[in-house]
Amino acid sequence: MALPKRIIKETQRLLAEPAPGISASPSEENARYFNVMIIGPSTSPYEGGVYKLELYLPEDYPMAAPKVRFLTKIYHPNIDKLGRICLDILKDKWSPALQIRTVLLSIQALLSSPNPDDPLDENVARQWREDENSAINTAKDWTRIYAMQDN
Amino acid sequence: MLSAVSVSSGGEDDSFDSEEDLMFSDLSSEEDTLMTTEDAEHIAGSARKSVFECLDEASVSRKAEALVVQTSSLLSLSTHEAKALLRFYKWDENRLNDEWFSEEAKVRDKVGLLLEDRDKASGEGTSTSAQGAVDPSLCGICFENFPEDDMFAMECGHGFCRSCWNSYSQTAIDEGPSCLQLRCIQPSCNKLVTEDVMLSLVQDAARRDKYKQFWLRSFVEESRKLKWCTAPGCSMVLKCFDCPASDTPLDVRCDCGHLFCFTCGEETHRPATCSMREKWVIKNSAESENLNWILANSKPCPKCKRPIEKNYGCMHMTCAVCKHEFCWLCLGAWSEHGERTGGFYSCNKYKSKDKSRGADRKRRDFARASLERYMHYFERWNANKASCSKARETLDRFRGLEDLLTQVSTNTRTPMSQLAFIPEACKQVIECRKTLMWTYTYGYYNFDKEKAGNMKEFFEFLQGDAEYSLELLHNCVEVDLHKFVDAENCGDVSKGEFNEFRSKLTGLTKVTRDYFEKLVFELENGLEEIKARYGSV
Repeated sequence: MALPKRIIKETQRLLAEPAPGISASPSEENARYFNVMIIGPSTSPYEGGVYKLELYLPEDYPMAAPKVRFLTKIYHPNIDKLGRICLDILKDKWSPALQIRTVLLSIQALLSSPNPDDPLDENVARQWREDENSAINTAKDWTRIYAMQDN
Repeated sequence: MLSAVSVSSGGEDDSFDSEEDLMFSDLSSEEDTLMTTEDAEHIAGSARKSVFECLDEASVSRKAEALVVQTSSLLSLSTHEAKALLRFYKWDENRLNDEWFSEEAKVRDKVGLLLEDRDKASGEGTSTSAQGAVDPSLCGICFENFPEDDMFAMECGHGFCRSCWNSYSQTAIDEGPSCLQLRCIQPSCNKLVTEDVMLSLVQDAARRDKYKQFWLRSFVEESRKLKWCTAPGCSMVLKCFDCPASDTPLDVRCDCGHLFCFTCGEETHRPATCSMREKWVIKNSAESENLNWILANSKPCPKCKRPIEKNYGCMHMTCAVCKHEFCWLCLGAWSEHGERTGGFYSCNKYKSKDKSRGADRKRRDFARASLERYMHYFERWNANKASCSKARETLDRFRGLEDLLTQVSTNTRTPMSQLAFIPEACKQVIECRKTLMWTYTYGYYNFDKEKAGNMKEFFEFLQGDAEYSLELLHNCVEVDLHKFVDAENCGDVSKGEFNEFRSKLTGLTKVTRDYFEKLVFELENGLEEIKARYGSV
């Protein structure tokens, strides 16, 4: 099936003018599957980390939201062990007027401001609420262990 | 006599009842007083027609339309806007009117009917949708250029191509009833996609029907006064004129014959309240009663702690699981029981210092008592339930292929039209069994403390009367009837004998109905009144 013009244009634009700290490129075998990298935002516990994600545009995109998942382990109250992300625009707040770029920017923003009151991983969220400093330290440890190239 | 009555009675439906009345008073004058019931119209004392009505889908749609039209003229809005507003306020026009006239802007905002500044909105729309490139012919969803005619925008001015609007709306309908509150494609825009817009966008017939069906469902499911009939496959709607309070049961009968409680949508359960029924059903299925039983009737093995029931034999127990041998009385190891320790049965001697075991026994006694009490009510509830389904089977046989009534009709040389009193009696049995069943639940929850006192006796007195009368009726309709069904006895059946049976059965039906009406009435109006009327015992 031919790729819709929307996906072609979005891909071109993503490659031509990438958003700061984000890179996304379609896989060679499947133009709907994107390899994504997000750089941990500075002043967040994820600073210095490079996070790999996968993004898939389902058949009914853009009427349905893209499917996004972290491949790199991350300690975050809204991201679970399998890398699934709790983000409203990926679920019921999706609008076809949103794009791959807006989704990735939202995920980047989520890294800067974790929301332990709407958790996906209850254990992480509890730690975050009860002792934020130690949670942030754990997140920093995980960043060092899992998200830095040298390791 | 019978034919004369049939001729004189006017309405078809009433004829059997009046026939029974007259015939009964003719044949058994000693019970005449019991038969002077003012109510000849309804069956079994429940589901009175005056408080509800049964509607089909077409008339429900008409009612919804009428309400929409009325609201639209009152608020000077289009019917589509009125419809959206009514849905938001759960089809409660009074609440809508109140809020609309006190703060229209707020209501518009909540529902998504904001009167926006078109110029401002459209400017914002194109800039975000096309990522800075101001091009009114470019669709921000599919990134294609279109002639102006192929672009579409609602009043808010957020333009996208018709094809994208179409898939957007269809996707929403596929997702379910939330499509009734679909907003503009532009994520920041709150504008509601009203019915007229939706139907102009979606051409697919199946989806259009689905969308219209969602509106009807919203109207029925969200209005407090409407409920779908709960019978499988029935699409009728029950409308209640005066809704009862949240926990007050109201029996309704759909035209399809299905009887249910309007308030909770479950099987009828008067005189028990809806919450009582729910608690009771949960209790019956819950594991908690099993635990109580285990507590009351078993002891844990002192070694492996598995519960053990002692059903016979001596006090020397051997755990079936861990093979530990112990004494049932003191739970000590059997190896310590012997002549050395003062004989095998020294545990019969009461040691008062052993307090912990006393507390344990007390707890066990309490558990046993509460279990016994529950079992008492449950067994009776359950027996009546079983009886009720048996009676239902009997009734079904009147409609089956080997119709019992036809046989009775042939055997007694009585026209079918005069046999209606038999299924009537059967229906009465079913209703009464059901009621009786739920009086046990009522009793379980209302008389659980000593405070019940005399009230419990009153309740049991009324219940006993009703139950006795029902037993007679049930016996009559199940046992006596068979005399007239069996073909062998065909020749023996005399007209007189059958007339006697008829008068007995109609009589019992009436008497039982009266008892049960009284029982339900008293229980629902609180036993306090009886106390006031008859004084305390």
